[in-house]
Amino acid sequence: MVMKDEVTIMIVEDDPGHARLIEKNLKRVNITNEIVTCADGRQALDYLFGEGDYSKGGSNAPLLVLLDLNMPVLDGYEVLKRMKADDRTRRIPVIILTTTDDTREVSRCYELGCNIYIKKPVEYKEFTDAICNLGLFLSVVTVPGKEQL
Amino acid sequence: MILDQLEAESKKYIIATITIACISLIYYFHVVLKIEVIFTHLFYIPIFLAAFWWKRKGLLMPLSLALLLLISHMFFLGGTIINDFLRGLMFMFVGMISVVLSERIEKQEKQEKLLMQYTVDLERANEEVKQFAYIISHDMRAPLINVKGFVAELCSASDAVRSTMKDALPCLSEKQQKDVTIAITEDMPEAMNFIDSSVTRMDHLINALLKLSRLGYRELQFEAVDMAKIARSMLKGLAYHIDRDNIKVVVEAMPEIRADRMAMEQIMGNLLTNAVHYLDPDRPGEIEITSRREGSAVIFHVRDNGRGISKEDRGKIFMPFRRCGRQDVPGEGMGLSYVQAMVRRHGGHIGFESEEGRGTTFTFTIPNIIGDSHQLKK
Repeated sequence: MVMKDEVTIMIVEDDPGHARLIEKNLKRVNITNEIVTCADGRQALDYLFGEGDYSKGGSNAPLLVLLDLNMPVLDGYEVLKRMKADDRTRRIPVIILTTTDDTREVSRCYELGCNIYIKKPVEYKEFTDAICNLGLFLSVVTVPGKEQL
Repeated sequence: MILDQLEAESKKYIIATITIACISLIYYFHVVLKIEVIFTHLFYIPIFLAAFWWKRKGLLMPLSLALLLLISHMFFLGGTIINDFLRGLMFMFVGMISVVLSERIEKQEKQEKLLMQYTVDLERANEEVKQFAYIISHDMRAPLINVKGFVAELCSASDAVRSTMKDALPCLSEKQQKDVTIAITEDMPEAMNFIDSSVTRMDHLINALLKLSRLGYRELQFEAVDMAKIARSMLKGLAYHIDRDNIKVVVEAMPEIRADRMAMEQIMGNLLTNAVHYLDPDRPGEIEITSRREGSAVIFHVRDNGRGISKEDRGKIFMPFRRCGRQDVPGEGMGLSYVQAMVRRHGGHIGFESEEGRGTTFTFTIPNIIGDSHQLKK
């Protein structure tokens, strides 16, 4: 069973290496959905709200966001906060995927309304396991459709 | 002070008004009513004020009043010059004392302000260092994930190459065969192994630093703690070594302190583990844990008769990742850094005395502030 193909997975990640590794490992467990990568929080919000580079209209597909926390320009907290504050993006599932497992940061993210928090392990075996498990999990997740406004 | 906030200009007017008021009052009582009582002493008010407000410059006030007193008596009022002369001197004396006192007060205030400034600066610097360590240890992790990840990807890619190469080898010349075989079976795995193990090591170092920086802000839970009990339970964990090497351990009864239990366990645990591990195999080991009360603090000693710490090593014993002396026990060199951080978080300090070949005594102080612990929690 694979998550409905029309769902787009958005990876918000400033490190292109991490983004690539995440993508690779998701593909390994047969996640065939379209994957969009944003290099920072600003770009992610532009995509979500159809502003800036995406003002010509982005994709209308339902989304699922994999969000990193430490990013230049606009960090993950800010992205999460703004997503949850806006009616258009409030229902999009957000999975935090970051290097930190500091308890303060974990609880702050859940407070801000993230759905899942995953730590990126340094050990690659664990990293692949984490992402593959996430992929398997994603394949059974149902995502709300795009808000019709 | 409120007085400082008054404009210099208004101070002048206040002094002038008070002086004129004093002179007229004295004139009224002295000359009109012929009563010479306490009102003469009214002059002290402007003198005090002037000396306090203008310090040395304010001495002009008693000087001018003394002159006024002398001149008026000499020419208009008659009376005994010597009395008025002495009174004039008295004015000067009072003025000078006020100057000395006010200067001293001002100096003290300045020092207090300076001290406060230093404290604020120090706290800020401390906060910055904490933040810095935290950020460094987090941000350094991100590139490591890439290195680890792509080395692993490279490994699996080279596995694929290796297995395909087996079939392709016969098509190559003998020299090419040899070169390719060495490259894919020796050089590439070796390089990738080194990269991988270095990154693993780097990760350990970062984790250790992260732990150290976390110790800096973990919320401490203050409770009544019996250090002798903690020491005994830590020693239980070391029982294997203690029994095997026949180490004599003495734990004295100790006063109860208010502290964070986990921190105290870490402190005791690290010090005792060091003491047990770095004994001198040539003589029977002795470890002794004692304490004494000093004021509101309790001083603890952990003494051993082990190898001791050489003079050159003494400066770096609390530094992270430094390990001193002969290393026959595995460790990452963070134990005493953690200990020092924990003792400092409790507002105490730690030091040691050591003689090579004779032993080491670690001494740490924990301030025992009952009921006031919330201040330390910061």
